[in-house]
Amino acid sequence: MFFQLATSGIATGCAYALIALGFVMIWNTASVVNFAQGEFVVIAMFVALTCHVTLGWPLWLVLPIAVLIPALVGYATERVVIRPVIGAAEMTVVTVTIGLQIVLSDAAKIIYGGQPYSFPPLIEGRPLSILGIVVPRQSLVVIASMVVLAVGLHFLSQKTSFGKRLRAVSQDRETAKLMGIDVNRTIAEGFALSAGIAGVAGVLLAPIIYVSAGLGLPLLIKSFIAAIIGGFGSYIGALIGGLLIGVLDNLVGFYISSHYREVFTFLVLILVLLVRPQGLFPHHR
Amino acid sequence: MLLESTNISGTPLLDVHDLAVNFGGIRALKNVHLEVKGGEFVALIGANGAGKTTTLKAILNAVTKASGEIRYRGQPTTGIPTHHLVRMGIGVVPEGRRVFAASSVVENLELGALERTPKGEASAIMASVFDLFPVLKERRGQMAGSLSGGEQQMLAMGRALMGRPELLLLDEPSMGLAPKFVDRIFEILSDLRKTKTTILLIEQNALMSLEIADKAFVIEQGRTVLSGRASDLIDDPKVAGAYLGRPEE
Repeated sequence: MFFQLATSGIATGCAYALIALGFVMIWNTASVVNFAQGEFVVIAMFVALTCHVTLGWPLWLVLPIAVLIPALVGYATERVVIRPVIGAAEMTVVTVTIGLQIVLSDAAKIIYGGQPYSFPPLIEGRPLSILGIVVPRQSLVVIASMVVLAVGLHFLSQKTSFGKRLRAVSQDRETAKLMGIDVNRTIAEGFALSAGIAGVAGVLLAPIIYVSAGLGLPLLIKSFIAAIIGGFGSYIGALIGGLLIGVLDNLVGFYISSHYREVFTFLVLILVLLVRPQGLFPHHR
Repeated sequence: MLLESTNISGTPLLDVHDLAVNFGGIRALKNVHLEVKGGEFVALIGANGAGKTTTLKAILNAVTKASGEIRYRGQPTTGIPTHHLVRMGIGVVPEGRRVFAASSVVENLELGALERTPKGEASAIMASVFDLFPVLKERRGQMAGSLSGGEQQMLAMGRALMGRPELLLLDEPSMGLAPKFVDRIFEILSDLRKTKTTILLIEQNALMSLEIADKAFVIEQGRTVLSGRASDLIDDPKVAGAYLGRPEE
C-alpha cells in the first residue's frame, strides 16, 4: 500500500514540481515572486474543460491550446502588469502579483462559479501492474510528461539562444544589456514559458483532482513551499521539492487524515527552515 | 579580425557635447565634453567621484541626461536603449568586470557574441580572443566565478571583443587588481591599440593611461577641465600635480 500511495503521490508531485519550476523561473529572471502562478494552472484547466468537455473537441487539439493560452496570458501579464513595477521595491511587486492573483481567481469564479468540475482521464484503460504495484495509466502519463519536459527545458536553456539569454538575464540583468540582450523581451518570454509550464501542470492535474476556480492559491502555496524546500532559485530543487510534497501529501492523507495534509506540509517546511534554511539544493546567484 | 575599424574622417565616432546629468537633485555632471575619432585610443581620467563612470552610463543611456548631446556615428543617441547601442557596435567592459559567475568561460564569451556576431564567425573570433588571452583557453570549461580577479578582467575584455565592437569602452579595467595583472592589462591595451581599435578607456591610473593613449580628457567635479594629446598632458604641470603624484612645478 505504501508504494501504491507513493507512486500516485509522485504523479501529483510532478504537477507541483512543474508549478514550482515556473515559479522559480520568474523569480530568477525578473526577481518577481509571482503569487499568480497558480492561476496560470487554473486557466489551463478551464480552457481544457471548456474545449474538451463542453465543446467536445479532441484532446490532441485541446491540450496544445490549454498550454498556449496561459502562456499568452503570462506574456501579457508581464507586459501590462509586471513591467511597470520591475525594479521597484519588493513589497510593491509582491502587492501587484497578489492583486493579479485575486483578479484572475475571481474572474474564474465569475465565469465558472465555485463548484468543482470533473475532467476525464487523458488516457483510457485499466491500471497497469508494475513490479506488483498497481499504477493508473494517468500517473504514468504525468510522470513521463514531467521527465520529457524537464529534459526539454534543460536542452532549451543550454543550447538555444533564448535559453542563453534567459540564463544571462537571470544572473545579471544590467550586464545582460551590455551583451546586446533585450532584457525586457527576455523577461516577457520567460513569463510566457513559465506560464506555459504551469499550463502543462494544469492539464496533467485536471483529471486527477476536481477542477475549480479556487484551486490557484492552494497550488501556489504548495509550489512555493516546494521551491523553498528545494532551495529557492534552484530548478532541480524545485522539482525534487515538488515531488516530496506530492508524496508526503498522499501518505499523510492515507495514514493520518486528509485534514492534516497542509499541517504536515508546513511542518516539513518549518523543519527544513530550522535544519537547512538554504534548502536541499542551495542556489547561488 | 577582432574589430571593425571604421575611420570616418572628420565625423567623430563618439561625440559627447556639454553633457549634464542629475542624480536626485544633485548635479553629477555639469559640462562634459568628449570626442573619440575612429581608430583613436582615448583616455578619460579623473579622481574617484569625478564623474567618469556616470559619463559612461550616460553614453550607454543607462542614466538619463539633463542636457547636452551625445552622438554615435554622427547620430544622436537620445532614447536608444542600452542593448541597441551595444548592437550598433559599442562594446563595454564594465566596472568590476561583471562576468557571469555561474557560466563557464566559453559560455561568457558566447554571450558576448550572441546578439552581435553571426554564429558561423563566432568560433574564429573566439580563437583570436584565445590568442590574446591564452589563460582563458586553459580555463575554458571553468566557471567564471572561480577565476582570479585578473583572469575575470581578461574574460570581461574577451567577452566584449567577441561582439567585434566598433568602439570599445573600458571602465576602470585595472581597479582592484594585483600590480602584475595591472601591467598585463595595460600590455593588452597597447596590443589592441596597435590593431587600430577605437577605444575609450576610463581610468584612475592616469600615468599608465596617458602613456598608451593618443588623446585624453581630464574631468574634475563633473566637468571636462583639460583635454589634448596624451603626450602633452603627461608633461602638463596641473596634470602632474593632481594625478601623477609629481609636485606641481
